[in-house]
Amino acid sequence: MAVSSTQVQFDSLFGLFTYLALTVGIVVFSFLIYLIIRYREKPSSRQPSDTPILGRSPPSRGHSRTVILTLTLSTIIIVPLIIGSFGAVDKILTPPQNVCQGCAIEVTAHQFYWQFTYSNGTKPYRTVGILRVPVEQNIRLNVTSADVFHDFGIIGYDIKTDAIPGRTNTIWFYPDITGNFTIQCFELCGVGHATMKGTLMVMTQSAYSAWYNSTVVH
Amino acid sequence: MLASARRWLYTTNHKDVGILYLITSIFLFAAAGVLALTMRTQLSVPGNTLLTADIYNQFVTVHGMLMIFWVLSPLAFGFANFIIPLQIGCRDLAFPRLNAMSYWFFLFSGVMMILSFFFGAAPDLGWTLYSPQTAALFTPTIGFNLGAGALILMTVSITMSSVNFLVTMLKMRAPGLKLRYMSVFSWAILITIFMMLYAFPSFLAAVVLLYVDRAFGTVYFSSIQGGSLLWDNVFWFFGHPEVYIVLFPALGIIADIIPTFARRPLYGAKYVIGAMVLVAMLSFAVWGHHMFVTGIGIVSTKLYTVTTIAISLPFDVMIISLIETLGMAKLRLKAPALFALGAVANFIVGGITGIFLASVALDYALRGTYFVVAHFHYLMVGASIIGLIGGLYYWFPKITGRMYDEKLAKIHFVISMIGFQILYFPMFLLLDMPRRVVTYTPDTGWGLLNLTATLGGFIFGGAQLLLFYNLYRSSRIGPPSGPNPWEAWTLEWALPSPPPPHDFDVIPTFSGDGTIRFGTSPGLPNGSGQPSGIGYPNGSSVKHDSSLLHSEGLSPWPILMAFAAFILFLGLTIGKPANPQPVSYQPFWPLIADGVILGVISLFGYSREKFTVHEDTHVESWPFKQVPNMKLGIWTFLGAEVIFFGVLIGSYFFVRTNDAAWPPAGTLFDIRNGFAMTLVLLTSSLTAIMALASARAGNRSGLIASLGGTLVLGAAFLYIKAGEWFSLGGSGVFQNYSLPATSYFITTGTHGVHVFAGMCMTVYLLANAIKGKYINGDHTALEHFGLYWHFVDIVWVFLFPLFYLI
Repeated sequence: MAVSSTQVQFDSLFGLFTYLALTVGIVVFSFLIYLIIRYREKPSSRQPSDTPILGRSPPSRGHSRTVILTLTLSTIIIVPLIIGSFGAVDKILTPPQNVCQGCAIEVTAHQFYWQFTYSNGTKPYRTVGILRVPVEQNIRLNVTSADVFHDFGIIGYDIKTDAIPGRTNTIWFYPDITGNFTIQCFELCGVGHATMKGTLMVMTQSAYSAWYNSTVVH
Repeated sequence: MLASARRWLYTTNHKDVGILYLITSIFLFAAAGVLALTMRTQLSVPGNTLLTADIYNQFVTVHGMLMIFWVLSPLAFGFANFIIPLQIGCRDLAFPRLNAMSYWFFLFSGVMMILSFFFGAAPDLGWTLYSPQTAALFTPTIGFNLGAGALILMTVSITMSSVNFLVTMLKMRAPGLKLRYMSVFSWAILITIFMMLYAFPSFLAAVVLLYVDRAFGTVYFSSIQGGSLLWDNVFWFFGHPEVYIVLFPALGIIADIIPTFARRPLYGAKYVIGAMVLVAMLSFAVWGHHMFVTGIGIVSTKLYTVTTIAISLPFDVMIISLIETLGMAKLRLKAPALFALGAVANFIVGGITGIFLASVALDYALRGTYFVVAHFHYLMVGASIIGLIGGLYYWFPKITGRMYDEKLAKIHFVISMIGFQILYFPMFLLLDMPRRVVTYTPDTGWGLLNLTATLGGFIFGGAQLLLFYNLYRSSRIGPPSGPNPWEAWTLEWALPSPPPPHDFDVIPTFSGDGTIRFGTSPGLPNGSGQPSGIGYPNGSSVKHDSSLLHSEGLSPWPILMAFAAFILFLGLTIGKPANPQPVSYQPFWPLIADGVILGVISLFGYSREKFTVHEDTHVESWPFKQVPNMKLGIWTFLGAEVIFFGVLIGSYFFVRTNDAAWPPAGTLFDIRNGFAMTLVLLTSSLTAIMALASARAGNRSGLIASLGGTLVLGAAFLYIKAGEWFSLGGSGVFQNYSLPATSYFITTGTHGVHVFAGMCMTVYLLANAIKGKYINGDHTALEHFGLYWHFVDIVWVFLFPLFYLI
């Protein structure tokens, strides 16, 4: 079962790519292996008629129609890949405008931890290392960095974005199931890079509301 | 013994230099491989503590840098040095001493990179060196200082090489050898050089800016306005062409090997070459795919998705042509052929997975994971290294005159290919695991795949010992190979193995009907490589006419010059680690002085040395028939300079447009100063023209006066500039306007250094002019100086309005 809508989308696009890649790969490899086996030198091999000799420029060989055929086939293959990618990236880069209260969260990367800021009441409420979100809601994250170049990624969610000082990148997702997931940094940021982790805690909506309301600072 | 050492240290012969490149890069391949195996051992089980994170990050970085800059390219250019002159029928490169100098710069830069381990800290951020972590604030160790020094030296080496090869290949081909008749390997090198020429200046600019940020407290990469995205753009503008720079030579080798062993001409050779040209051009328009998730905007990412996926089309043409060549063939599966075919197979896998990463949507998941690591290792190791190893076996008989052990080579191939797949294929499946992590926890489930990869790593690494053993042993006791063991048809095989120092007794001629003539004899006896030796262009007699002189030419100056640069850069980089305050930087003055003195001595020796390079007049030199070699070299060099200054100016635009608080024109820099400097410099261009005119007219006093005028005007320019610098520096401009100050000091400073270099040339010319040179028709040096000087002036014409008027 998919953990989020972004993952579903990644899986289907990745599936399309993999399917076409395997098809192309198998055809090309079969062709290559067939020719190697068929035309390797044997006692019965025929001498090719156009073997070039030292002292003469090799004769020109090959047809433009092969090139045209190759390019046509390749284009036919890559067009759906481009279209699929465009559709997917439109979704990824169009975060929902209106999300529930407590579903728009600021993410700030530090060497070497993640800080999450909720706008709750008059003062922001901060947590470190744990990102709590409600299930089955659109979640929007504004990601930035307080020091160096990091990359915010959630393992299994197939969504990430760079955390760059001075810039804010927005990503969003829609969790389908509750549970804990690992947040990890995906850009080498120093000695603590490997352990720069956090937890995405997807809670039931009621549990989330209870927690969120308990954080209110008046 | 001593004579032999002297020969290798002082050689300027392209074949010797080629061998030096090959041996050095094989050693560095082993070194970088050991780093890789140590990292693989660390990752073999979760929670391993063999390496600390600090050391691991240093290993990641130095492994990547060594492999990319000090192994893949130099290995390829070892072949290029040895083979290209033979394939195009000339006796050496256009500038043999410059070629030797390129090698020594390359060697010393590699030494400097490795030295960083011994000075306490190597660079530790991966070869991509993402900002702002490279800033002294985050990384105060001297690792990046030394690393930047090493990369600058390396880039200088590459630039010298590119200029040299470009002039050689465009100007010195054997008579009748039209560009379209060159072998695919020669073409691949030519195209690689073009990419180097336009990509590396961008890298040089990036590293220079990084260095001055660290050393002098400028803020290109530590400011928010420049920072991460400025580095990303400048670095990847270079970085993506670089990927093809390390790939194309191997593709060229493969495209020479496969037809030879298939006994058929390459299928669609002209389409393969056309496809390479297309990729080279497109390679400068795809760098954005390295920045898909930096937030560059939806339109940009879509555009880069299309260009990046589209760049696969020409590659399809290349691969299909290589495979198609096997049709109706008589394929001899010797070691070079096996490695070439293995490289093609790996290339297909690496290329197809590249399409995944070209999709911005998939990149949102795959960015920074082991999927990326697997993809580029399939290309850089699977295609490039395996292909280059094919080249090692292929040309081994030509280089040494002996045959390698075929059976051992085949075993080496089988183990290498199996080890390679076990090493890298599991990484495709680790598409959740971040790159460059020192370790991971057991609950991730990544343990088994990592263990498998490590096992494959040791199989692959161990297999290379067979290669080293085979090459070492066979070069001593291998059976004589004869001139053409593969019955190949490119020109290098017409020479004895190994070729004599001067290569060709008689320069071959290509005639319109496709035959190649040596002197008056029509072609080779039958071209089938009969070991009889009759009719081979090189008998045992070596003619000692003047055109062969430089083939034995030894010069001590290239290595000394490189050594001087090495010492100078050590002095610049091992000084007290930089601090954000510019005044706190303390260069290591004794070393700097030492380097400068040695540099001046070797420059003097270099220019005084009687080292004549014979320029053949009857050569194929389209499209630059009327241009002498030296002039073309300077044009080429200035082409690289255009990119360099273009990147500096582009960086200025980048930070300026990102900075809302930029002071309006006229507030910071006094327009009167800028105007005065412009006039002075433009006048100096006029005196430079007058100098040349006087020399042409044979007017010695006019020449001296004009050169003196140029010198004085250059000095006047620097005088005004220095006054401006000091008054700005004293006014605390850095504290109040960090970015405007940064871009001003660096851009005009770099230009000032160019003016100063031009003045040094003027002093040299003036000294010679006083002695009475240049007025008897020998004024080419003045022409070359003029080109450079006008270029420097034109740069100022751009800088003046950018800093003073707008």
